[in-house]
Amino acid sequence: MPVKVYLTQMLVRHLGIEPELTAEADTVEGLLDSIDVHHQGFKDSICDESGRIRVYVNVFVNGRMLDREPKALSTRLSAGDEVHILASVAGGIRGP
Amino acid sequence: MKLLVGTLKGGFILEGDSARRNWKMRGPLFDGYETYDMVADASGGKPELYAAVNTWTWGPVIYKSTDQGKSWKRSAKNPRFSRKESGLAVKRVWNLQPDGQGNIYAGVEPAALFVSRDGSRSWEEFESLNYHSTRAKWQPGQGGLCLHTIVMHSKDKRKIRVAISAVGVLGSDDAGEHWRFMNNNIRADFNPVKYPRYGQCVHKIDYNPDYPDTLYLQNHGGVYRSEDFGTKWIEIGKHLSSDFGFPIGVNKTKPDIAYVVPLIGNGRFAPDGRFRMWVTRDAGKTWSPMGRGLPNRAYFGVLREAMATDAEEPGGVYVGTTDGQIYFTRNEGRSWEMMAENLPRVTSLSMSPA
Repeated sequence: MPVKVYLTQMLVRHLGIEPELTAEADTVEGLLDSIDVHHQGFKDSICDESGRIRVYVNVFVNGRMLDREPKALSTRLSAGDEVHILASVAGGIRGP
Repeated sequence: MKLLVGTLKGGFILEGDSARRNWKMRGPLFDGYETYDMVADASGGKPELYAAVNTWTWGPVIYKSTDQGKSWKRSAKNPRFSRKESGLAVKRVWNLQPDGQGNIYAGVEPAALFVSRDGSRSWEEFESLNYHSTRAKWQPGQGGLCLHTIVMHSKDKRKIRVAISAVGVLGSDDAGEHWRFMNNNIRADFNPVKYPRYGQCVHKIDYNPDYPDTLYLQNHGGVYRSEDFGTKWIEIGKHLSSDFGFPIGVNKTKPDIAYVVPLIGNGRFAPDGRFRMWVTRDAGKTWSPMGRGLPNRAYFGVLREAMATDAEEPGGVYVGTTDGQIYFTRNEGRSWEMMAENLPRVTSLSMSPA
């Protein structure tokens, strides 16, 4: 079922990917796998190898933010759903 | 030649003329993301460059350049743990090490070792090390539980030594199938047992590839030399102004010459603020400070990967600071010049021959 995906410009720049995509998937993990086929490294950019969504990445399904636990990737998707993938606000990044 | 510079805000390349007098800088690379190491692999003739870029958002990735650093390509596959049930996930890539035969090794945090045999198109992990039976007892150092040093024996590639903070040195003599601790005589001042089997906070190891059995080691406390590729360690740093420090560098033509940067343990700056490189020219029997051209009041530190030595004659030494300066010498340390300033915190330096 087609799902609309919106990506932050930071990710667009990092991966060289389009900012808006349409993909077929029943779950969030299926969606990441589906996009990863054409854009290798996409899934790895969103979640680590243990299945946790990365600390400074926020994934929203129809405006609701998913938590970071691996089970979040099992979230079901329906036709017409909208998924936003954004970077967290992180103004206090360590320096100098 | 090129000096590859990793910083907290991207990578830089300083290109020098044959006299090592004039240097032109390019950067920042990698969109300003934290870059912990940049290395050149010249095994195929023309150097290929690799960079360990730890993006704070999208995870750690390896970048590769086949045109001397003019353009870079992000690897689609990167070092990652294969056992999902372990719960382990790579947080940072700390160290990249070409073995001279086309393979690239990567040391990561949490401590683990990976290798790519196809130019970073895919990565394999060393399971017997990464899921070692003692792993649950490994403790992190201040920088995290990181595998930060990889040393390949230049004449027998089956022999590998790695250093982990705060676990110490582990070695394999069978290309990574089996690993053993190699911390014989290395102190752990912070431990009730001063010479434990493991738990040392080794900071860096360096060597001259033409004399691969001789290793030099900067420990959390203590400087050491080994003449048998890490089986036994001899303490050689008792006459330094401080035997705490992070990097250690070995002259690439004269194996008895090595350099350290003594620091105060708590402040991570030079004793009395007098920034000095210390050199031994007799394999650690004696040490002397070198300060001509270096500041007398400075409160920066030098990170473990932020020293490089070139293979020129007389030998060059390059050192990057936590305040963004790069100092270098073209005469084995007798005088020093500033090559760059106002960079971000320098995390790594290494040489590329072209």
